[in-house]
Order: sequence, then structure tokens, then C-alpha cells
Amino acid sequence: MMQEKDIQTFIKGVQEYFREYAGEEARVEIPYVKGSDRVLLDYTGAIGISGERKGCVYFTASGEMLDALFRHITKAEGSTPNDLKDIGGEIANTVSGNARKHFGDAFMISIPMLLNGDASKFDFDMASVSYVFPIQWRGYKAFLVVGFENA
Amino acid sequence: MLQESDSALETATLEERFNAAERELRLLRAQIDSPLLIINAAGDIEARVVPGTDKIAEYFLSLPMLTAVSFANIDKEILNDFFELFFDKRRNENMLRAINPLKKVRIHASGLEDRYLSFSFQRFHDTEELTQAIVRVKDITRELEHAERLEAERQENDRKTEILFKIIHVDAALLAEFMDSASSGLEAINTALKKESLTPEQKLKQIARIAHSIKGNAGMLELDFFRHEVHRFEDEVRHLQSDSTTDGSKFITLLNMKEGLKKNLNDMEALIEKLSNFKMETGSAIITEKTKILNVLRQLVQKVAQEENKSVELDASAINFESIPNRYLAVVREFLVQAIQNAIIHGIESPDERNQNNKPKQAVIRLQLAERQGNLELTVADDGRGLHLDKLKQLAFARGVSADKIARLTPAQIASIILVAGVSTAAATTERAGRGVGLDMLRDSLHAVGGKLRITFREGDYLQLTAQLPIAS
Repeated sequence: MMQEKDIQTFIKGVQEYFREYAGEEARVEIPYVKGSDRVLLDYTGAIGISGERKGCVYFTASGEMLDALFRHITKAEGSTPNDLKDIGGEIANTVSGNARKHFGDAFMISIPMLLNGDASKFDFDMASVSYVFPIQWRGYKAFLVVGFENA
Repeated sequence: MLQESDSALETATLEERFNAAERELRLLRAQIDSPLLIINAAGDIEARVVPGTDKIAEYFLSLPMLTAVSFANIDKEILNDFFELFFDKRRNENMLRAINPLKKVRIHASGLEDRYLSFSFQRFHDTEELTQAIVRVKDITRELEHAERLEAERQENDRKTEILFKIIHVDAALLAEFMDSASSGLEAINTALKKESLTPEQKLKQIARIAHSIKGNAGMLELDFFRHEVHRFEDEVRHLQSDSTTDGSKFITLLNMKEGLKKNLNDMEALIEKLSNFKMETGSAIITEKTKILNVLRQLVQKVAQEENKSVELDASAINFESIPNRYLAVVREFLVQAIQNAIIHGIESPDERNQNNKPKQAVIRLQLAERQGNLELTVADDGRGLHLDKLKQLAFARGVSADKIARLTPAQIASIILVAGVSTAAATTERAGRGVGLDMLRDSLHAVGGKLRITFREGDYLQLTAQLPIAS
């Protein structure tokens, strides 16, 4: 069973990013248990967990959300797919940095892996149970998926 | 010349002795596997030995003792009192160990994992005055984690033993049916959580109803461990409802509890498989259930009546479960369990009260099944106090219905108040009653299969709940 405080650490990582860079808090909506379906939007930053726990945590967002974020942060007129991938990477980095700070050596957190679109490249070992937290920001959608268990 | 060589010899000897002493000290330090401190009577650290590169010990021990301890959320006054007693030679050192407030201290330092340290104190006895003490600092984080793991394993074994004990006493077909319906219920809870079109309030309302139904079924089979867990789950739902929260991060406990219930079901399934003599006659499961449902209801009556200190007889002479179509079995079972529980908890009076009202001490719940105008009518009737209309009027008033409107309501309209979600006449919430999600949920379940719920009563005399189910599918 995942510990509540451990899950909160990953949620806080996402919230911290939006608070600091997005000018507006991201809303965490009611979570559910992930089924066999793939919860993947256009851009995904995934972190592998090993050590005392094993599993995966990933943030997946629509291109529209990342585009709006990119333009908000850089004040640019538009964005390229690489820009959006970078923004997704920054969020995943914030989440993993926050997790490293909190967990110390209890969790081994991998460097985030970035994917755009192609779900077939997603080859992280998910835990048997993962929780999906829908994230809303200015009407755009993303998901934080958290799943780890004792190794 | 001679003097000079004597002095050189003396210096060499002193140097040798110094080096030997230093080597010994180094060797001794290498043997120390946990930090050692020397403190004075005020609790200030006067000397320290910290082995290795223990970051948290270094951090903690870099602070003066009292500051560090106040950082670890220990009351300074308690610690001062302890030091005062500890440095008082008249006090017994062994007895003081028992009241050591620093036996288990949680340390939280920014950027580091939480740790638990244990401080043990020993007096220095080499001077007249007691002015110093040695403190051994031990990191007990892993020990505590190990103890917690052992305790969790013990609890897990107890839980499995209880599951095993219960399932070997429950009819196999009913158990299989329960597990199927509970599993579908948990799936439905997840679907409600996931459904984007529902508001958080609607999600929680649906979840409360499903959980209540699972709990009723677990109660019917006397799977108390499961019923208890679902009751805790309902408590959490109620807590979230009262919070009116839309913050998803507050729902983690609920998800964990749901997964805990699922684990219970999985464990039950695994245990059943392991019981070599446990034959699941799945082919005849439905027929077996019909013939055995009555025995289960009798057990339910006996158990709830005992819990409520009431005397109740179940009269089922006018019912034949074989004439109930299979498609209605789930809703019929839900109806019977809820109606019987309601009758015993809310309707039937205590033996003393019945005696005062010239009623037999033993109450009767009658089950009837009849066909009328294209419907099957299943009735649960008790000879209890019926509905207390004044009490229901008060409930309506408390929920914001105006006194004028209440005065114009017919008795039937007043009676229908008990079908409103959240209304309960029970004085307190127990695992079986008081949440006010029973009859409204039952009515909704009947509506879902095209049926209706009818209430008839006479105040002081009886209450009858009738489930009308269309015969044509």
C-alpha cells in the first residue's frame, strides 16, 4: 500500500511548479485507481523508482496545456514540439527533485524520461496499483500517475 | 652534556607515550559505532565524538543540546526537570532511566529523511561533584521500522486467520455471490471516482450508497471483518462529505481504504482456492442461494436482535424464494437485509416497552410474497411501534421545511420523509444504522430494476415495507 505522505510528495512537486512558474495554482481533482487503460496524453515525463520501493511516477499533459504554459512563462507568441517537450521535462524534473529532497536514500529516483505522443515507448514498470490524479490548470488537462510498492 | 641527553631522552619517551596514547585513543574511537557526548548539568554539550559520516548525527550534534531537543519537539521544561533529577546524586540512576524523555526522538532535518534517535545517559562518578554525564546517541530508525514491520505482519496474519475462520463457516455459493457483488461494487466506486461528469458531491453520494450496500451484504453473511472495514470506509466518505472538499489530494486515504477492501477480497479468494475440500458448486450456485437465503436471514435476525437486546421471531411461512426470478435476487436480498435490520433497530420496541404497551415481549417480523396486478410483492412487516410522525415532522423542520407546510402534509407524505437521503431516526451512528442512507438507497435500487417501494404503517402498531417488482421483464 502506498503511504499517503509519499504520494503527497509527488503531488506537491507538481503544485510547486505551477505555483512558481504558471502564475496560478494547478487544481488537483478527485483521483481514481488506474485500470488497464493507458493514461497518456501528448507529452509525458516519467520517473522510475527503485531501491526500497519500485514503480513509476509520471506527469502527462496535453499539448494545449504545455503550449499555454510555455507562452505564459516565455511570453513567446508560439511554441515548437521541442519547447513543449522541454516544459514537460521541467515539470518532471521539479517532481523528481522534490522527491529526492524528501525521500533521501529511501527511494532511488531516476532521471526523468521524456516522451511525446508515442505511447509504445513507455516501458516503465508500473506497480500493481497506481493512482491517477487529474490536474486542471486554466481549463487545460493533465494527469499525475503515481504507482510504487515495496520492492 | 649529560643533562642535555637526559632531557632528549625524556622528550623522546614523552613523545612515544603521547603517540601510544593517541594510537589507543584512535583505536578506541574506531570502536565507537554511535555518537558519544559529554554534557554538563545544564544540558550543554561539552565534548562529542561522532563516528563516520553520519550526516544527521552531525547536524543534530552541531546544535547545543537543548536547542536541538527543542527542535525535535520535546518540551524543554520536561527535559530541564529530567536533567535536574539526573544531576542530583541522591536520585537513583536506574530509576531515572525509566523516565528519560529522550528514549525515542524523531529528528526532522531539511533535506534529510526523518530519523529516530535514542539518547541514554550515564553519570560521571570520578569527582565529588556530579557535573558531567556521558550521553550515547543511537539511531533506532531501522529498529523501529523492523518492529513496525513485525507488528504489521502479525496483524496481517491475524486478519488472514479471521478471514479463514469466517469463510469456512459461510455457505460457499453465498460467499461466491458476495465476493462477486462486492468486487463489482468496488469497481463501481472507482467508476464513480473517475466519472468526469459527476461533481465531487455526486461522486461521494454514489460511493456512500454502494458502500452501504456492500456492508449490508457482508453483514448478512456475518463477515464482520469486512463489514467493519466498509464501515470505516463509510466514515471516510462521510468525513469528505462534511468537508465539502474538492481537493483531490484529500482522497488518498479513501483510495487506500478501497484498495484495502480489494485486498481483503483477493485474500479471501486465495484462501478459498487453498482449501482443498472447499468445493465451489458454481453450476448450482443460484439455486443453492435461494434455498439457503432463509437460513441466512434467520441468523441475521438473531444477531441484530441480540445486539439490540430485543426478542424477535422471523415468520417466513408465507414466502417461497424459488418463485423469485434470478434477475431480482440481488435486489431482493438487499431489500430483505435492509428492511429486517430497520425493523429490529428502529421499529421493534424493547421487551419492557412492549410489555408496558400490552404487546408480547417477542416481536414478529413476517415475510410474504404474493403476485398482484402483474407485480411480485415482497413484504417485510413488523409489529413494532410503526412510524413516529411527530419525530419525522421535527426532522423535516430541522431540514428546512416550513411549519406551515409540515402542518399540511398527510401522514403518507410525512412517512415518505424516511426515504430522504441523510434522514435517520437512530440516536447514534453504528455499523448497522444511523447514517440515513438505507431506505433511500433501497428505493433507488428498486427503481433501477423497474420496481417500487411502498410503506404502510399504523403509529404504535406496525410498519410494512413492500417491494413491488414487475413480473414481465
